[in-house]
Amino acid sequence: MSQPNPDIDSDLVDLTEVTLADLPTYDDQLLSPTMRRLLQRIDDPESITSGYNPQRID
Amino acid sequence: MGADAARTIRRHHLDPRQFDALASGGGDADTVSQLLAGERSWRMLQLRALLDAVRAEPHATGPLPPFDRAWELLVEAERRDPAAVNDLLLHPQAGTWAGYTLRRLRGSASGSAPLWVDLGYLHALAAVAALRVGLEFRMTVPVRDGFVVLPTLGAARAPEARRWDCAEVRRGSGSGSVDVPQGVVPVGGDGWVALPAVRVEAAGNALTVNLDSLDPYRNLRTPAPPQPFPAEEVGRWRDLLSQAWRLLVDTSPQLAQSLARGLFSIVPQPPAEPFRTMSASAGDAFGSMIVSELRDATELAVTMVHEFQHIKLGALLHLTPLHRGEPAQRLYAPWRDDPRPLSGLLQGVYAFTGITEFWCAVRQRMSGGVGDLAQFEFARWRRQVSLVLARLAELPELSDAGRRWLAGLTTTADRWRGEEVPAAPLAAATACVADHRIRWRLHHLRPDPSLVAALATAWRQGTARPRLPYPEPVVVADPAARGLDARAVLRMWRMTDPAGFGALRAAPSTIEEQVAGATAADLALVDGEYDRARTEYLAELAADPDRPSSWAGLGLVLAAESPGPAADALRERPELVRALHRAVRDSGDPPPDPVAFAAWVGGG
Repeated sequence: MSQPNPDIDSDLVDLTEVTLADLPTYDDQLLSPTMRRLLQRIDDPESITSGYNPQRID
Repeated sequence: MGADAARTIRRHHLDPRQFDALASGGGDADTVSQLLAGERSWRMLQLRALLDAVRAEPHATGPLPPFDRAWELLVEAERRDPAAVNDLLLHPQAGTWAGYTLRRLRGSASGSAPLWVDLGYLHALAAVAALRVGLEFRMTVPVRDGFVVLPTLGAARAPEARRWDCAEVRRGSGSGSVDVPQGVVPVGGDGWVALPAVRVEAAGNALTVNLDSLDPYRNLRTPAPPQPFPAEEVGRWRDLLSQAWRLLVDTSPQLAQSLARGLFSIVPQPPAEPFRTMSASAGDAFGSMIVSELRDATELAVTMVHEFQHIKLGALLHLTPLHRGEPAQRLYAPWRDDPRPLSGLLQGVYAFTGITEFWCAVRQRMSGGVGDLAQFEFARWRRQVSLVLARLAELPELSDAGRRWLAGLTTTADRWRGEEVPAAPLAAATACVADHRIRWRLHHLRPDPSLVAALATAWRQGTARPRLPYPEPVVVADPAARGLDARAVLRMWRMTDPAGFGALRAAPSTIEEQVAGATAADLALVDGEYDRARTEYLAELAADPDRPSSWAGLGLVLAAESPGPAADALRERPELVRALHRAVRDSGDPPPDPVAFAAWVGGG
């Protein structure tokens, strides 16, 4: 029997239980790996669009 | 934060069955809920980044209250009703706003509005949160382009305000209101423009979306002035959406349920050409799709499928990357005019897997011209998706998750192989697949210059075409490449509107106005008049020997009526034929006959 596929683990910290009150002081170090990734995407103009078919407009 | 707390830090993960469902092109409503949970964390991260960036520029809010004041109101609203504020934070346009404003703060985007106007969207969100949960409050928010936009609610008209101005939103013991220069606008009263919401239902499945032409951050990249949506257009969209929803519920119920969970907003745009719908979605705006006004419900349905694939993948990419780095050269995307980065190709193949599944499901319900169109679209995209998946499998840049994702899509694509397609739409699809590829090669591939020089010399000396190796041509994007789908559009027109196509044939000089990039030669080719098409393409090449579409069209004519070395060369290495023809002309020789020349190139 083959091994079941593992979970897909993300570096994205689960902030679903974090309140807006706590967000400003949430530990920088814990957020930093994903924050780096977010800011890289911010700085990459190609990442803005998920989908766009510009050949279909002039 | 101490070690104990660090051990309790949770990170997102996806259940393997949910990942594999997404990887196959699907994903049920529960999976979409998991993606939404990730989006909530991503949104919180965006907000934290904004808070940190604004702290470094304490005067950035200009005439508005400090950013922290708006934040405090949002916090207060969340304490009163966390679920209501959570929904507001997931408003798709809030994500676009956060991304855009961060770019402004980081210097990678500029804007016509003062920065404080963009920052003030937080103040507007806070005001909306306070209104929704019933707080008594006052908050100053931006006015832009004559409107005070309160996201998810609507806008107060402020025609006498300056282009960038301030207004106070308040709520006492009654309902909310907005103070504008001409007076007080009650939320929902005179002077108020409500954000239209459309609810449609089929077989017990309901979909509710906003038609958003108000939120300044409703587009992809830059803010846009609010443009209230006329009531009659809301009605038209409701009717079309109702029919499209019925079609999706009937043919793809799981897809419909996941759409209901994850689609919140449609941003209408002006109509595009027939068969050339403009649609888009932004990675930061989970749940929103931008779409040109459509002519029929099937077109809307497939566009919803298309954009929802992008939406799902955008959320998955927030959780885990599917590739690391980019190949040295851009890649062929059969649904685009331009070469694409790997990141773009992954998005495209995911979208078109969904589209192909859609056409596979709906074609059995359709007949006549629309039935032919559905069969054609299924066959065309089935082939194109399979080609792209095979290419992606060769790339070392895919991550482990990316390979697993690719395997899922490939399993889905393999399922399509056994599906029967009637001969005529299948032949049309096959021709369109070849056509796009040939045109793309002509525009974007540059053959090795030394090979071109050697072959040009051989031609000029009148010798047989020498057998020489063909190094992989280099991708050099041609910015002039537009409308590579022109002949495909004509085929779809011919299938679904024979009378309209006949009118085009009767007035070929007007074809460019109806189908951008198409010519009379293309009309003749699509209508099967190969002799006429050949004559027309040769005339086009006499006028412009470099015209990629003409070389491709000529190749298609030759393939249809006289297969042989010329057709082979224009099918397999059209870029070489074109480059070599140019080299011979540049040497001062008269332009060779294109057919004889292509035959010589193909004869080696």
